[in-house]
Amino acid sequence: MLVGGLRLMLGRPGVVVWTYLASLGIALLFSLRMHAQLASLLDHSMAAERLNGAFDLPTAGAVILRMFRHAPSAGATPYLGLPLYFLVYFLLVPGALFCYRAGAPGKLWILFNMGFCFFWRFVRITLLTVVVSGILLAPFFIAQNLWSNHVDEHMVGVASVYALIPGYVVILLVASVLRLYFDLVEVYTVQLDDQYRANGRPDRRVRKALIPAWKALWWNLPRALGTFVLLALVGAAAIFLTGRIAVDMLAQPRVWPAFLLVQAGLFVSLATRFWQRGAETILAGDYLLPAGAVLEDGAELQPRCSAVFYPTPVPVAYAPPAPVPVVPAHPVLVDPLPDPEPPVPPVRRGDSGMFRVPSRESDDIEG
Amino acid sequence: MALSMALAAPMCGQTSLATNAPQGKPLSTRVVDYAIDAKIDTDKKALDATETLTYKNLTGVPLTSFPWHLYLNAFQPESTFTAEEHYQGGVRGDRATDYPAKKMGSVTIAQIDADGYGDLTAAMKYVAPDDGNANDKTVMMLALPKPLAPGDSITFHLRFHDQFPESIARNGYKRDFLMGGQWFPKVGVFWHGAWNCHQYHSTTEFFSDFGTFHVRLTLPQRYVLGATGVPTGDQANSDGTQTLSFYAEDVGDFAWAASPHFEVTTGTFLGSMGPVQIRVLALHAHPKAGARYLKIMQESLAQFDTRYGPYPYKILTVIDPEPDSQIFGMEYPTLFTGGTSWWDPTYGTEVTAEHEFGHQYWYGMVATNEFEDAWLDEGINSYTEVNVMDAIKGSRTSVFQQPWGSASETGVQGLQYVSEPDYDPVVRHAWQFANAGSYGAITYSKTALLLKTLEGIVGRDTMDEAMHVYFMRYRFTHPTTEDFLRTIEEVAIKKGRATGVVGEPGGSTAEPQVGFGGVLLAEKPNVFVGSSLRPYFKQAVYGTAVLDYAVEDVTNGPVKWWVKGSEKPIHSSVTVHRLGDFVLPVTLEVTFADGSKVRELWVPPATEGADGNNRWKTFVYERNAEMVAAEIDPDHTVMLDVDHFNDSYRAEAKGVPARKLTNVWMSGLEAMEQMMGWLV
Repeated sequence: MLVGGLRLMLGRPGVVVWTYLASLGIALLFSLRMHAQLASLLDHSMAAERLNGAFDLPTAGAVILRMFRHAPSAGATPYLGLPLYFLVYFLLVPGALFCYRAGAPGKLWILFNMGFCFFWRFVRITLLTVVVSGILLAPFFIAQNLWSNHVDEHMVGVASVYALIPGYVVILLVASVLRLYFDLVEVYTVQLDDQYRANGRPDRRVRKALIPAWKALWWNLPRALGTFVLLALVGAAAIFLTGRIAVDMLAQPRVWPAFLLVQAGLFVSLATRFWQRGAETILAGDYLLPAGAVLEDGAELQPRCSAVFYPTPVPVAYAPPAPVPVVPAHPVLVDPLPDPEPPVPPVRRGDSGMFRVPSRESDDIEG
Repeated sequence: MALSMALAAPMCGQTSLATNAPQGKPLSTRVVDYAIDAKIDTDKKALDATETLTYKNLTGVPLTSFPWHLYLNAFQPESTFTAEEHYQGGVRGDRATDYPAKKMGSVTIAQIDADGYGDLTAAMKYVAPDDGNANDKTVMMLALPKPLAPGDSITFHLRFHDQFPESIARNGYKRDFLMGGQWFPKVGVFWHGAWNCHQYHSTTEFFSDFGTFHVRLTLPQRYVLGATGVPTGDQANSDGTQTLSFYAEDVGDFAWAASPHFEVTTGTFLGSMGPVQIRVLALHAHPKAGARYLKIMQESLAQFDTRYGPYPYKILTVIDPEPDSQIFGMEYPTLFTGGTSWWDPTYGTEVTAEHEFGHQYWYGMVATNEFEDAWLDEGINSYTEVNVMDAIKGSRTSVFQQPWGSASETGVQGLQYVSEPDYDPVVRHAWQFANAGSYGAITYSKTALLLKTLEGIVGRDTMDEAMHVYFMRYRFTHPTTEDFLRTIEEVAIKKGRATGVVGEPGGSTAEPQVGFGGVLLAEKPNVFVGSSLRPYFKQAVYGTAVLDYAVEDVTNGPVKWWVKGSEKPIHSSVTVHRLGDFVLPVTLEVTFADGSKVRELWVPPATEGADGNNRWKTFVYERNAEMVAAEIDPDHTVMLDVDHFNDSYRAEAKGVPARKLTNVWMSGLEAMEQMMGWLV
């Protein structure tokens, strides 16, 4: 899972690169006005020397205070980038999952096309994530709050910190399980798009992905959660370490080393998140969705999201595991059909890529 | 016990138990003598006590009533203190939106009588001299059936009960830590011909007469207790309690703190009046605190002894309060609470300890009226904090020092000042400030900065001497704002750093009308009414004017601009623009491309209009080199300026500072973006 996920992530570098560029670009774009304000304040001021070859915290604080007092919109502008990035990320994630599943290249137009196609399904999943997480995590937060109050009443110092850590670890683990589960729901939702409903429409029902995701998680909880948490920790460590080292560079009279270092940490962190997505795609590949519904008579097949790139059949980007041989508990019955079987009668109408159960009525069968 | 015996042992030629005063003579005019015996219930966070107060009438007038401070009654929802904290914010706490039972505090006098006056319990009456709040019970007025003649004494006997709240404003309990501050009924101060006994406000501190204290405290034996004064006895009782005795003299208050988790660290400082025992009671959870407190106290005592005067008491007790309480950083005579945590990479521990120790001088000994002249305590103390911490930890690193960044005392004070620079003057009564933020910014930080700026005007040596003279002259006397300002003027004039102004005897001296340069406005000599520093005091101390000068419109161009190809000589100009209302002489330093520098002094006229222009001045030069930089206050002494970024202009742009801050901001933004991504 870990290696397969890494291969998927590295095999489609465009996914991570485009997401990172979106993050960096939006942050840059929405920091420009603030930078212009800072430059007008500091570039020609000798008081700014305390931020040049040093980093004087009160001076930095005075700059921020001035910014928010005299140009509050400039200080607040960067925050407007957050919802925009969230929206872009919303569009990129379905595309990333599609690319990982279908082996498509991580090109921007593919990512965005898939993002638009899956947009409302992912909105529903996100809302469900928030609601379910809120319901399930609330008791843990309440319990932790009560425990925290108890600790606050009786303990101080580093002992109190140690006493609180297990609770936060439990909350993080539960949150990780929830995030992992809904990640799998997202993977199965993308997978589900390859199936048709009886009326010929692609299956866009998020609820149909809930049980497969649960089964995949339930049967593989230790390795799936272990992989998820490990990669999350790697990402967090990347940000922490590069950030910590970059802080030590604050007093230098140059910015680019710190910039590059922080960006490297952020990139690694983002990559580990998509590494998780890749690993989850591998996991979902081990537990395919059940077969789709039988088309009703006269049902017109409507285009799937993936039909734009892969009309039919849906390519499989990975080799499914070999089926486990089942040892029968009862004597094997002799197949009544002759071997080889007679040829399947041709279907009069419908998608040539779909298997269709023939009707018993004779006029549906030629010859 | 060993400590108490050591302190009790008479030193050569000394008879005082609690101070190193020569021949044991009183250091203060002792008006009150308190004897309190209290039994502390550490489970109920309460105590029951008896109190005997002997008050000596040195007022020169008959006294018919006595006001008493009942500070613990402030911790009730209807009190003026709580209302102010709710609506205007508190210095230590957030604006409360509810009032749980555990926050209730009270002091209840069960009985009060006086020798020769009988039972006076029925004569007690709550008054609210500041705001008339009928529900405020922090001041009780006791009418005597007959007046107390001048020179006579009266002895009151009280029984009272304290209920401590969960840590509010320096007081109460947190977990099993208990702070007994402002815990006993305390008589007001007869000052300037009247009783001075204000209600307890969210921003006010305290004011008391000097006297002696004999206090016995009984509490469980597992507790370690620190208190004002020297320990004089330690008795183990059969019921598992202990009774600790303390004695203090020439102090205005008595406080104690107790916790079963204290670990005691002791040290000694040999001051100019004698040895001082430093006793640190630090929590077990803060293993490094004891050594840190001890070190900074030894350094601070040395600095204060050298700069301002001797610490006369035999003991100094440092209390390390419980984390997450409002009990951190509070001063009491010979005792204060610090503030630290299990991990403190800053000098916050040291800054807090030094600040609270500094109060021993300004609140403890000089003992100004903190209700009415808070700046004379908190402000002067912030100023001395800047100087002392700068001397100990370095002027650029006195608050924080890491390889990647630093913070100075002056910088931190400046940051706090500019947050609320113009709502109130420093001399405003503490409870009359616009809000708690303004109180903090003005009382603490503006005072520190205006005195640092004054250093630039009269010289650092002059200010050091003035502070020394002020302390030595006014310790144990309750001086006022004018006492302090006149001391500075007197020393500055003596050292030739200011010009004296004399005036008519009996004339108003609160705000003498003189101009810059010590213009004599009064005709009749012999009475000193001010100096050339008065315009500064009038604006910085008595006013709310904001000081902000800016360098603007730096230009360079050929003198013969109409001649094509003409490059030299170059016409350069720079304008100094006064943006704020504060008028102050300005020093401008101009640097040219050939490395030469010119210093200009602009003394703006005190008033604007027909007499002159004090808003701006343009300086023009014709040289063979371009002007490359111009800077106001090149020696960086005008700390009161609210915007140091516009104090200078450098032709060459340096983009690193702006890019550095943008990078920090942008990196944080990207990290937040990734955090949001976890929702999908």
